[in-house]
Amino acid sequence: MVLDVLNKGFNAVTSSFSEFQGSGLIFILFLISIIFIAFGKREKNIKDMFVKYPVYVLIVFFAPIWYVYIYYFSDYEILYRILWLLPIGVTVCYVLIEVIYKLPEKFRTVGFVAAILLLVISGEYTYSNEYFSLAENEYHIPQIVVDICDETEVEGREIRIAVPDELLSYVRQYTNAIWLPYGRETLMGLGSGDSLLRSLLSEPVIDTRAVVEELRHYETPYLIVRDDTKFTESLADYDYVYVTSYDNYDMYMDNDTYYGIDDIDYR
Amino acid sequence: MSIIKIILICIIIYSAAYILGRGLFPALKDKGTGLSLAGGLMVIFASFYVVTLPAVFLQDDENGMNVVMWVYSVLISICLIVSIVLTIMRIVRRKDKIFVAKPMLDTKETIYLALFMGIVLFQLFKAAFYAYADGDDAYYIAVAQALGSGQNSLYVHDPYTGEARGLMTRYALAPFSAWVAYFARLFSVNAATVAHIGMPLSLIPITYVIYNAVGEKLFPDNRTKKYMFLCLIAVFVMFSHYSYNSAEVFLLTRSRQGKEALANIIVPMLFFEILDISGEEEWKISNENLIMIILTCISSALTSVFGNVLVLIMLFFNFVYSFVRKAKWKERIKAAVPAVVNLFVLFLYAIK
Repeated sequence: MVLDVLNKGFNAVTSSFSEFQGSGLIFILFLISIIFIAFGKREKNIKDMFVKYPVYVLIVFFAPIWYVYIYYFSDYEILYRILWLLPIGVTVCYVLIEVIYKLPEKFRTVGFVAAILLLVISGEYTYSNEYFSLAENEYHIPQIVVDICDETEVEGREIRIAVPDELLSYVRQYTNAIWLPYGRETLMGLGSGDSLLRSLLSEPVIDTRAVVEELRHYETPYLIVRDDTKFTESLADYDYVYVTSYDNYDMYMDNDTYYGIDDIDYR
Repeated sequence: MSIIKIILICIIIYSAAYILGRGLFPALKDKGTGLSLAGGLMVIFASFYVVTLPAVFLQDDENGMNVVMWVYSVLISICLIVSIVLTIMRIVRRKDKIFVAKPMLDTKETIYLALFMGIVLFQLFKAAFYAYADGDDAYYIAVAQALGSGQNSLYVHDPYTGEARGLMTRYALAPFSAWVAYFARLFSVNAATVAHIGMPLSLIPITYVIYNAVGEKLFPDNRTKKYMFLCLIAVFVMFSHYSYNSAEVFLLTRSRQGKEALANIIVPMLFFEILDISGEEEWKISNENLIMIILTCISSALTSVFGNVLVLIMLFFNFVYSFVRKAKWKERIKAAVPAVVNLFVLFLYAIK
């Protein structure tokens, strides 16, 4: 039991640390900077805040108390946040400036440029991240989600819609008037997130009868699917009529549902 | 029209933060240029938490968020009036000046400052015009959207589906999304716009204000060094994607989430406070420092439940450090007192 706690905890903490440090170059710079301050600076408070404090944070991070927490709660994904307490950027940049100022004055500009290059090489450009893209609108939400929500929204009442996984996270960021039959927990496979509807919609060929039953069970009059989605039977056979298309998505609507308005725009 | 409102929200956050910081904590402006902004933001955060926490637990489905809107607006207005009166009184008594003249920048300083400003403006441009897809937004912004567009019950509706499902304690104890919703509702702007554009434009510069104050502590007599330091920090931030989880990545990608404010405002602010205290010959916590630390601790609770743990780790260091520096017992007690706030929040989390 104790060994199990130690083993699981140690593995979780070390993998969390390893993920956080990435390639490790920044951490090497950070370590060198701490050593520089420890042996190269005289000011007591600087030494304390940039040497003793980071060492203390690392001791806390690797402390066995977290092992017990991890063992019982299986929740170690947030442990990396303890490492936010390390003043990595401030320490590294402070030491770089100190080193630059040890150079003769005429070389300081060169030293500054070299310091920038060192940071660029050691790190990775944040904006090269694949999740960045030019915003399509003021909401920073895919325009297709905005269009779908605007189409389905009915003033004065909530309407539930089922959307493909890739749109799911955005719908309720844009509007509170649209509800969903299942949420992101389902996509992530967390806790109470099981959903038969989502399982059915994830099949290569969707069982029309079963899906329609589930949609009606969840009182979900709108179904949005990719236009290449295959069904066992036509949705129209179950009174789900085609409304319109947005790019690669088709929208269907349940004719049996009362919407509270009489001017649904059939196309 | 939304964009004009977003600019207005940013102006209001900056103005309110500056007035509060300048009025209630006059020593801050001497510790770091613009640090009044960060100090004022702590007042803004902490007062929102103090107002929202009871509302969350009272569970008034009819009026919850409405009450928060009114009480918070009145509380902040009173704080602003008091701050303005205090500032005017100090100016009249010649204990303060409207503008404090500083020596002109020389050529080197101007170049480094311009470079730093250029990098920060680039980051703000990216934040305003580029979207970053983050899965956690599905929760946080959906909460802000619901509260911002008229829902009054706080943290009982599942933000993913819209269904009521009982109090979600972990999130209810850190209602940063409700703070975003406050502005969305006050200005009738879509919460997604406030979160994705308004928040980064308001919060990213305040992080740099704190870095600037740290720079002034590290290089008190050399502005060129300080501006060079800020340039390097800004570059470091931009190239911090060595890890998906680094604090600086959160700054540039998730400024609408409480976690970002925790990593890039609360933690640096508390670090600055501890650094500030440690710089004194005799280790002691002034009353102004103590109040600022307490406000920072309350603010940490607004941003994330785990923020309480992080702040406690920092406070424990400060407490132990007071022994290393052979501080008087009164000062040691002062170092420990702010922990009560975060221990109380964690206690609530444990029993709920």
